[in-house]
Amino acid sequence: MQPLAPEAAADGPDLADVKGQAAARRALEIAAAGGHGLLLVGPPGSGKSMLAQRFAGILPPMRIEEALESAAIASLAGRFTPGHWMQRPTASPHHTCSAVALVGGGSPPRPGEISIAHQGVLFLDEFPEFARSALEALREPLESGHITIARAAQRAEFPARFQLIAAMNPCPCGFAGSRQRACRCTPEQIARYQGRLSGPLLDRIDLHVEVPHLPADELLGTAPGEPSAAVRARVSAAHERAIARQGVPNQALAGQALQAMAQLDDAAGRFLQTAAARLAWSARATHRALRVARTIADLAGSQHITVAHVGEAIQYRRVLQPAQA
Amino acid sequence: MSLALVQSRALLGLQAPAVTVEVHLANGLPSFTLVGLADVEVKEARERVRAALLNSGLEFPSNKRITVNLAPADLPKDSGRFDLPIALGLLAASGQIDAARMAGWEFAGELSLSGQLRPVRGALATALALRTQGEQARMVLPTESAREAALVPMPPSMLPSICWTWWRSFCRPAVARWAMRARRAAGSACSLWHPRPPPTARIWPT
Repeated sequence: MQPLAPEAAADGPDLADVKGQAAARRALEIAAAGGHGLLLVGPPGSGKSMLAQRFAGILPPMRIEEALESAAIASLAGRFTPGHWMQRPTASPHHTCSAVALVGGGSPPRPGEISIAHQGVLFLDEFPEFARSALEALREPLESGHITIARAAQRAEFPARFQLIAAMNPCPCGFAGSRQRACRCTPEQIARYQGRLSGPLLDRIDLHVEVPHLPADELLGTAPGEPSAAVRARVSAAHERAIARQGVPNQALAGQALQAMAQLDDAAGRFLQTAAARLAWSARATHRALRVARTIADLAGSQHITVAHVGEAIQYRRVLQPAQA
Repeated sequence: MSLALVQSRALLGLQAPAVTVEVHLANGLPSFTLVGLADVEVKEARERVRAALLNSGLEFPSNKRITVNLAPADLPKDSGRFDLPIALGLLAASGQIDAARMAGWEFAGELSLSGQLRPVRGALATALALRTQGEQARMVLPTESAREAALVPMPPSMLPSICWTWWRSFCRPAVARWAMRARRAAGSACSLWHPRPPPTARIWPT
């Protein structure tokens, strides 16, 4: 008797469908190569959800151990089908979902959406609309990659190494900072809306990127964008470079390994120090920017991190700051 | 023998603790009691097992006081995966099958009223847990579940041979009735499985 024959993988939506949005596509590529979290901010209808749904298609292929862990969680939740074997899962819970549904729980403990997204993508659309308790519950698993559910009678540990892709509008009306339409929210409303996301949570998301409104001539006039397969080839090359060097994706680099593997040249080191001091970054934010710079250098095929890589990494942490100030 | 032990597995998080299903047939007022911190769906196994045995042409010991214990008693058990071990325990305790033949095997499977086996949730998780726990176990699972579990590559020393083909003689009513006739013709107490020894189908992911 043979194991289930993996069905021919149904091709998901292709990145070629997305026109323009060069900055967001670049951020998607960096996120996929290094395993970083990504926050997309933009007006309604600019293609945030479209980009996020295409993200799983550009991730590097799964190793058999990763596929087993992912399939075991799916099987535990009763969702496993042969078509999902060796496919990176995408979990996209609705924003009304509770903290327990998101991180797991119950008695006996069952895995939540973050565990179902293990080795895959957790896509949270309308990020600030999620319950505060649900979002704050994401903080530990985002850092540690697993979740321990302790109940009175029993405790269970589930892996939760997922890539967070969050999408949000910059303000309640959705058009703050847009060149197409005037925003009709007061600064206070905007601050309150963005304040629903706590600083520590945003701190844990490596890449913040703006997805601007796409003008009609660009939408209708331009040729299709680069297909997922081409992006995936670059992402896989960068991912393999990181795995060959340190055995883990750049996002999982910590402590000594980060110092050893993310070697900055002199100018880049000074630049990062100045930026971190001026922007009043936490130690975590600085380390995260360093990891992103490492991924950008990997995508460029460079062994050392230069000023250009650090500069690009720094600008990915700045989207929500001006509105909050 | 009026007492039978069948091995099975529960599923707690990503671990698969061993569960022993103990079936005891006693004289007394006919009843069917299931103990051992079983959830509602496990307790409903009583009705499924009764119908499955009868529809497979086997005997349900309806004139006995039946006690089924799922040990360890403090481990919560859910899902219908214990239907199959309970049914086998009843058959072994009532002498319809040879209990010694089940030694070294572990069973999990949900029964339909017709006697067919239904897939269980978390077969792959069980197989992966067995591998990480480093336990040697040979499991009998429903076809779909066995195929799912076989995705887990095992080192040859601790391969859980997942076998299902020999179970067909039980779950297919037509085959079972044929076996009953053969048994009556032989006039002995030979079990359903004795005419044809179980082919131990070893599964190896390609």
